[in-house]
Amino acid sequence: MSAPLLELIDLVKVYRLAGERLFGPHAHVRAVDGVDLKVTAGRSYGIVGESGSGKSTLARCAIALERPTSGEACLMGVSLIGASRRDLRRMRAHMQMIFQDPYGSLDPRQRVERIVAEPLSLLDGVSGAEMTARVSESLQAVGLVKTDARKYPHEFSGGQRQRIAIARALITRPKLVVADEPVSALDVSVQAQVLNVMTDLQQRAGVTYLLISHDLAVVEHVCDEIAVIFRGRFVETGPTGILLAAPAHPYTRALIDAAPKLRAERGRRRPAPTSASSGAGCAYAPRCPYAQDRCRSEAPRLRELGDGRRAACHFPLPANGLASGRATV
Amino acid sequence: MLLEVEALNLDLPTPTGPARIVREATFGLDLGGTLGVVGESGSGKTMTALAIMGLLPEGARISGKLRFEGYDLAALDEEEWRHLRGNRIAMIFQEPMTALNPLQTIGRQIAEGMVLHRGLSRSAALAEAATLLERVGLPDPARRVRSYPYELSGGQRQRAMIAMALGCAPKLIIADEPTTALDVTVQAQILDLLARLREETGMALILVSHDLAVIAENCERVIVMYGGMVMESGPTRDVLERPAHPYTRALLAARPQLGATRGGKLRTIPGVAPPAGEAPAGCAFAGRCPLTIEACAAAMPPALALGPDRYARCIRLDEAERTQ
Amino acid sequence: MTDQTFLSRARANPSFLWGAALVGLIIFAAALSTIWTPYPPEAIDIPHKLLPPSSTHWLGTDQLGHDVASQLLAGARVSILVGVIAVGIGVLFGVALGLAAASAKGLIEDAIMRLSDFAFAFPALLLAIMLTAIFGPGVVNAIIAIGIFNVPVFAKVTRAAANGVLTREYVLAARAAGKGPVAIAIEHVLPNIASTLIVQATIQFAIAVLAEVALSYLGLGAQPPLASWGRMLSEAQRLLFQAPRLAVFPGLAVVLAVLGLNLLGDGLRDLLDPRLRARR
Repeated sequence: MSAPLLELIDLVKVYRLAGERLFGPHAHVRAVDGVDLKVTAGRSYGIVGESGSGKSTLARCAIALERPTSGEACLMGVSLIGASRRDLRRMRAHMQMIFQDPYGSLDPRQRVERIVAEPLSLLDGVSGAEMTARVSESLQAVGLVKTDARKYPHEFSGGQRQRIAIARALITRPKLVVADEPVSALDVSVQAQVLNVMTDLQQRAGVTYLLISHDLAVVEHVCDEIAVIFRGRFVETGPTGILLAAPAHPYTRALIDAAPKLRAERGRRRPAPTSASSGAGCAYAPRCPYAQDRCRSEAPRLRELGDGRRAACHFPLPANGLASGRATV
Repeated sequence: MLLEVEALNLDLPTPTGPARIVREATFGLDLGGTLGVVGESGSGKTMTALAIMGLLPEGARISGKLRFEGYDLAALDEEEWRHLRGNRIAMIFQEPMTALNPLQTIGRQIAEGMVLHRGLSRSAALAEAATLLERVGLPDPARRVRSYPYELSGGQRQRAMIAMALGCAPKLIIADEPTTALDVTVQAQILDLLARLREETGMALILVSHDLAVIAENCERVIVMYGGMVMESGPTRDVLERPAHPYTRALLAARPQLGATRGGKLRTIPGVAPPAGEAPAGCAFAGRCPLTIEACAAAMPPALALGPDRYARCIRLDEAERTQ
Repeated sequence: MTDQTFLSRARANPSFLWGAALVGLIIFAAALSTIWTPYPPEAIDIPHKLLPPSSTHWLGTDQLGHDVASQLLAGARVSILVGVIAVGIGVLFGVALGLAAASAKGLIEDAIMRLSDFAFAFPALLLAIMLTAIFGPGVVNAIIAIGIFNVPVFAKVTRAAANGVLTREYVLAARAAGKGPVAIAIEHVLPNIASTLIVQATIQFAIAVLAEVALSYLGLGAQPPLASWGRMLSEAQRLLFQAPRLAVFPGLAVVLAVLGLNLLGDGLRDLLDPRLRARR
């Protein structure tokens, strides 16, 4: 069994906030609070969470844009943390990133060919002719044409720009592509175009995605495995279909319920109770309608539930979706 | 009818001459009703909302019928508009951070409208502002009245904006993508809040969004806009369950659905939506529509009635029906 | 598409047009003076001193018989030279420092910024006087002094503009691709702040011209027989009631030069910046 494509072991990233007083203590934010992750080649992985959950920070640590406070990150078995600048650069050929904002992620002063070729230009031993050929190849793979290479970003629409960003991510033929909210800023019909490009590349070019999103439907469409993140910790992980059909963690259930659906009945959502968090105990307890005393005093750890699922909950929801024990609200 | 819009046309000045942003839009809203305006970028939905508020940019020209509570909105002068805005018609914007003045406390911003329209004293208005903040579910309202926008989270700011809109008990609230910038859980809370307030006050709501599902859950009626035209209009349930117009169909087909097959191809619309004001003559969807024929580009398709208050602008509705 | 619309907008921008015209005139005068002037600017002609404007001496002569018109043309040369070199020094070192500060952050950024603040705290003129006092008067030293003053200006402006660009996602994308900070600064930051720097350069150019005039007026800039507008003003002071025109002509030249540069800067700001931001 070969090494997983990407492996994160007990990853922690702590940010130091500006101190309130000149010499006083600084508050800290644990953006990522101990995350274990294994992405296998060929099985795309999705991370779902709300804003502030730490999912973007996690993505940036995974692609070595940020240095984690502690823990390990390995790409194809090689550590990203301990690597030298030169080794890291070589490894970047195998992992690339797509960003959320199609209007901000392309340099407005450069032509498309230069933008798309950038990751390739940083590798040694690629001739000018080969670069031009690869740029054309990449552009065509995302449904654009060779002549688009000479244009500037402002000549394209949002969806097309995102496709250019994907072309750029593909040019080094990476095994792993980390996509941070790649379609959130796009209109519905444009989203569909870009998602089709992404799934197409999964099938034809063997690209594996680490997809970050707040949109469950998008993650479900692209990914084989899902992890739900809350306050820097995974609260539930498992194969996509199983997890979404029968979520075990109340937060996952809340996310699924909260997503507006086309054929919905109004007014069946339970209001989220808000109470101060005690510090110890489950981070979700203040918002959880099923929280009990044990939840507030003891933080649950990720436990196997069978079917490849793991959930960090003392009272995971049973498979038929009903709560065990009575709701306390 | 609270709001009547008939054959509304909106032109904006551009360096190359006036651009028609909205074409022959027709829709209505009853007292206490809910209307969803669905469209993608360039569809003209935001401009339509701004037209109802009289917040169009300098040089904009409208024609057609635009009546609110009997007032002819197209003929109002600035003095009369100021009486309506914030008072009878209020608006909630997409980006609460830019819609709120970062240098004023929220209490002051909420109180402003009440002082202006209801003639309350500053202190009475501030007290009422605290009450409103409580009504919109903001914890610790007495303290929040003195907070600045940057001290609040996105969801809280949006609630503050809703409180501002409620200050003078408007008959109509226009919400322009009120939850797009928010998380799905917060989005759900805000929409629930709006529904509850509607029940309490009986105010009407126009919800502008590109998200069909949000509209489905919150609006009794919907109009689907594309390239400045209202392509389809009718009761939400009907339009979404039995869409008549090819564009509505395509929009519904393009959404990834929870529970659908993984990795399958989504049905996309080839090409790109035209930027505002640059839609082709005739039917704005001509060329991208799978059912396009020559006649489509020749003239604007007439609105064909499909029921007592349902219509669609398309000359190939039968074909659309058949190819479903 | 980009350049065509730039030209058409440029034509519609009165600030830019007038500025370009005035600056163009000064540059033309300076260029012309290198190959031809009505009379040699240094030529002394005592018998014909203090003549009013006539057909032989278009703007008259000064107290030593110098032809005023010729001196004015030669003075343009000095002003342009000072502006170009002093601003050039400022751009070369200031932009480099500013980019280094923005990219490196932390202690390096603080150190560079505090040094700039220190340099700013000195009144520019005082700095120039000090330097010329130490190293002696003369055009070259005046240029160096003014140039030194320009460095912190460009360092600060560059750093502020660069910070804005460094937070953009395309810079993040370049870092994700493995690009180093130096390459990012040159390939991504510089082209995107160029317009801000160009506008600042025109402003600094005007300031440099004024600074040279001031220094020459104090006797620290161009030394005789080199003609400069500042020196002309200085010498005209003594004869202010006898022949006010000797002060008016160089004074007018300075006004036109500075006005032209400021108008050009304003016009360029309109043409370059909002356009780029509105381009979506």
